[in-house]
Amino acid sequence: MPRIFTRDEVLRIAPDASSAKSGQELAQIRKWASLGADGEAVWGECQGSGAKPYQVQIALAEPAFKCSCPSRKFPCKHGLGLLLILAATPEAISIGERPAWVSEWFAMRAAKAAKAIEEPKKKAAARDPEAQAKRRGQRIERIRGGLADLSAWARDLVRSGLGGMPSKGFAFFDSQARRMVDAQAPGVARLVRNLGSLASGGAGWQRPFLEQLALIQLLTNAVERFEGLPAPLRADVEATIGIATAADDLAELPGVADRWQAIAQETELEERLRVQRTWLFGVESRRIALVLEFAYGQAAFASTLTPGTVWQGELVYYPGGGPRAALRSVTPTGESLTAFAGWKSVRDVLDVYSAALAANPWLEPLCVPLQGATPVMQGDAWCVIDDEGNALPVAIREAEGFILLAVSGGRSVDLAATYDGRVLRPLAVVADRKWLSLAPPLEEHAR
Amino acid sequence: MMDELVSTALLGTRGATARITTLPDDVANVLPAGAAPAEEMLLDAAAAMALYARAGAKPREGVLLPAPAGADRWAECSSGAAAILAQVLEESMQPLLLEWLTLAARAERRPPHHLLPKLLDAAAARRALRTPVSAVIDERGRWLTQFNLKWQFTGAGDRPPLEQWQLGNRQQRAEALRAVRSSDPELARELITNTWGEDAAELRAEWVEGLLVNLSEADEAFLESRLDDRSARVRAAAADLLCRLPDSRLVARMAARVSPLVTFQPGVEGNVLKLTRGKPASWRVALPEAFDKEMLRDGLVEKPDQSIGPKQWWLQQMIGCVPLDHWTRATGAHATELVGAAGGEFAAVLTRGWLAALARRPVVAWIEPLLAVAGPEVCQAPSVLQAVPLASRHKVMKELSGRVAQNAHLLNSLIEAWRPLDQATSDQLFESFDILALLMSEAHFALHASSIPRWERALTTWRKAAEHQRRVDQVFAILAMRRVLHQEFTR
Repeated sequence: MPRIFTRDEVLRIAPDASSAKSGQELAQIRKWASLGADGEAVWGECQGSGAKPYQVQIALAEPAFKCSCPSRKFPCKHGLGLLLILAATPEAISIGERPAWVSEWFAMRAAKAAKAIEEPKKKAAARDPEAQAKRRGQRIERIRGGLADLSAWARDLVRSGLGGMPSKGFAFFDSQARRMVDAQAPGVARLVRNLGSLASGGAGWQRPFLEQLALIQLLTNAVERFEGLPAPLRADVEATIGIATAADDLAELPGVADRWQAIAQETELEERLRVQRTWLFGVESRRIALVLEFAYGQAAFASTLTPGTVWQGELVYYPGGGPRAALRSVTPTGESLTAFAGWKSVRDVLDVYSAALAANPWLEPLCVPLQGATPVMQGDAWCVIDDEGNALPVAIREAEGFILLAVSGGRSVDLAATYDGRVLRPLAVVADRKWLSLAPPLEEHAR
Repeated sequence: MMDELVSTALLGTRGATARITTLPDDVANVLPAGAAPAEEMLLDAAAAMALYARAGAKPREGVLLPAPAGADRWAECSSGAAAILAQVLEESMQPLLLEWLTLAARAERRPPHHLLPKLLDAAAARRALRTPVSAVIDERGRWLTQFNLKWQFTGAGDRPPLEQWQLGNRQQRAEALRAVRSSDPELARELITNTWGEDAAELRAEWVEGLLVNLSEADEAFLESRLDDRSARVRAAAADLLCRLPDSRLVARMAARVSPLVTFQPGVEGNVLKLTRGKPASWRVALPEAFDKEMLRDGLVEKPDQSIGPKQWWLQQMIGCVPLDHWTRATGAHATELVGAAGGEFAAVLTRGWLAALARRPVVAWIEPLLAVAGPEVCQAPSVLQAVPLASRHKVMKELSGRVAQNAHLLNSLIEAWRPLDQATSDQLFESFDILALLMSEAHFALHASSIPRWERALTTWRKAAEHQRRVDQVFAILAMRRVLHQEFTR
C-alpha cells in the first residue's frame, strides 16, 4: 500500500494558495484518464487543455514530483491533485505495474542520487585549501573596514541618546544596512535592519533595541580581534556576518548519522525570497539541527523535508557550534512522528539554551522539543508548564494558541518551540500521537 | 541593572562620566578593565547584561494548571470527514457545514480537537450554527469555551436574557427578546411595555415586529392599543401582526369595510332545454370612496407606491388584511372557484390582495389556484413555500419550471424553503427543471444524498457542459464532497 498523505499535508506542500485551489479542483477522478500506484509511487494521466494528457508521477517517500505539464510552479496543480485523490479516495487508485514512463524516471533518480554522493568527494580532492584560506582572510579584512564604521555609528547613537530612534524611520537604518551589504556582510545588514523594526515596535522598544545594538557592537569587537578567537567562535562570527560556508568545505566535514525527527518547519517571505527553516532533532545524538532552504518566487525548495515525519541518514553541521546543518544522505523512513524525543523539563531546555548561547552570543532563537508541557492561558498571557511545575512564557497568535489549547485539553503535550532566552514561540505540537503545525501560514509574514 | 543602562542610553552618554555601578559581579568581571569612552563601556555592559539575562532566565513557578477536560463521549470522526470539515471551515461553505454537523450528530462522531476553535468561531459568527455546533463539540469543546468569551453561547456563560435586554445594545436586546419570546411570550410583551416610554420609535417598531414569534390572541389587546402610537412605523408593525390574528378587532373592521365592496356572484349552469345560457362565476367590485382616519389607524397607506389608482390601492390593502378563510366562509365556494372568478379590470387588485393575505397567513387550499394566476409571485414569501405540503410540491415546481429562466432566485427560494429536501422532492426537481436552471441554482447543496449520483451522471453527459466548465467544476466539487461525507459518516 502506498504512503498516504493527509489533505493538510498535501496543501502544505502547495507553493501558493492558487495552486492549492487548482489542485483541489483536479482532485476529481473524472479528470484523470488513468491512475495507478505501488508501494513507492503514484502516477496518473490528467486531461489538460491539450490533446495529450499530462503524465504526473510522484515518488511518495520524499515526496518528489514530476509532471509533463509546462507549469513552472512546483509541485504543479496536477501533482497536488493526484496526492489529494490519494488522500481522499485511495480506493480509486489501482495498485499495479509501473508504466515505462514511471520506471524510467525512477531509474534516473537512482542514478542521480548515487552521483550526488560521489561528486563532492571528487571535488574536495581537487581543491586548494591554502588559496581558499587566503581569500577568506582578504574578505575579513574588507568587512573589518565596514564594521569599524558601523561601530562608530553605534557609539555615536549612544553618545547622543537613543530617545529619538522611533522617529528615525526605516530609511535611517536601511541606508546603514546597505553599507553593510556593500561591505560584504549581509548578516550584519540583517541585524541593522532588525534594529529599525525594533525601534518602530511600539511600547517597550527601548530595552530590546539597546540589547540588539550592544550585540552588534560586540560583533564588531569580535571581528576586530578575529584572528585571536578560538576556531569554533571564528566560525560562528563568520556565519553571523553572513560569510557563506562553501559546499566544498562542508563536504570535507564529518557527517552525523542519526534518526532525525523533523519536528517543525516555518516558511518566511523576505522580499520575493521564501526562506524555509526545518528543525530536526537527532534521536540518538540528541542534537538540534536547522536546515535552511531558499526559493525564489514560486520555485520549489530543493529538499522535501516534510515536518511531522522521521528521516534517517547523515547531516553535516556547519562549522561552529550552531544548529545550522545541511542534508547529506538523509532519506525518509515513511514514519510519522507520534512523540518528540527531546527534553522533559523546562530546566533542561534552559540549560541547553544557555550552553548554546555561551558558545555563540549571537545565537538565533533555537527550536527545542519539550516533552510533557501543558499549555496554559491566563487572560491574554500564555505559558507552558512542565511536569515539575516550572513554567516558561509563550508568545503565540490567538488562532494558533487556541488550537494548542484545544489539542491539549488541559493535559501535557509535546511541544516544539523556538526559545530566545525570554519566550517560547510554539511551532508544532504532538498530542494524542498526532503531529500538528502551529507555525503561522506564509501569507501572514508577507510585508 | 539593565534598566539603568537603558535609561542612560536613552538620554545619551555625552557628558555622563559616572561609571556603571549596579552591574552584578558576574557581569562586571567579564567587562574589559581600564578606561574607555562612556558609550563603549555602556554598550559592552549592555551586551553582557543581555546575555546574562538570556542565559540565566529562571522558570516561573506557581502557575496554576487548568482543570483538564473530561473524556469525550463520542469517537473522533474519520480523517476523511475531518479533511472535509477543514476545507468547509476554511472556505466558509455554510450549507455544507450544516450538513456536516447534522451527519456527525446522527453518527455520534465528533470533530478532531484542532478544528474546534474554528468551528466555535463559525458558530459565534452565525447564530444558526450554534445549536448544531454545540451538539457535536463534546466534552473537549465545552471545556474550550471557557477560554473565549465569544464562544460562550453554549449555555452557562451566557448573560441571562433579562439582563441583556436591560443592558445590551440594539442587536443584543433583539436577541434577548427573541429568546424570551420563544420560551415565555407573555414575559416578552411585558418587557416591551416596561421600556416603551424610553425607547425610540425605531426600536419600538422593531420590538413589536419581534412579537411575530409565538403570536397569539393574547397579544391582541396590546397590539390594538399600539395602533394609536405616534410613530407610523409602530402602527404599521402592529397592524401587520393584527392581520395575522383571524379574530382580531382589526380583521373584523377590515372585513366590514371590504364586504360591501367586494361580492361574489356564483356561476349559473346553462340549461339547453330551457334555452338559458350558463353564466360563469364573477366578482362584483366597488372601490372605497375616501381614505379616512380609521383606515389610517388600521395601518393602511394612503399613497400608492405602484402604478395603480389610489382607490384600487386602498382596496388591495384591505383585501390583504382579511384572512383568506373569510372568503370561503362567506361564499361557501372553493378557493379554486373564487380565484378563477377574478377577472376584468379589478382582477389584479383581488389577486394582489389575496397574495398579501396568503403571505401573512398561508392557507394550503389557496396556494395552487393563486399559483395558476399569479405564478412566481406566490413564492416571494418564504412563509407560503414552507406551507406547501409535501404532496403538492411537484405542482408548485411544475408551475414554476417554465418561469425560472427569467427569475433565477425563485428556484433557490424554493430550495431554501424546503430544505432539507426529501428524496421525492429531489427527484421531482429533475423532472421539473432543466439542467441549466439546476446548475445555476444551489441545488447541489440541497439535493437529497440519494440523488447526488443522478445529478453527477446528468452533468457528465450534458452536451453543454463545456460552455459552463467553471460552474460545472464547482458543482462537481461540492457534490463529490457531499458524497464522500455521507459515505464517511455511514461507514
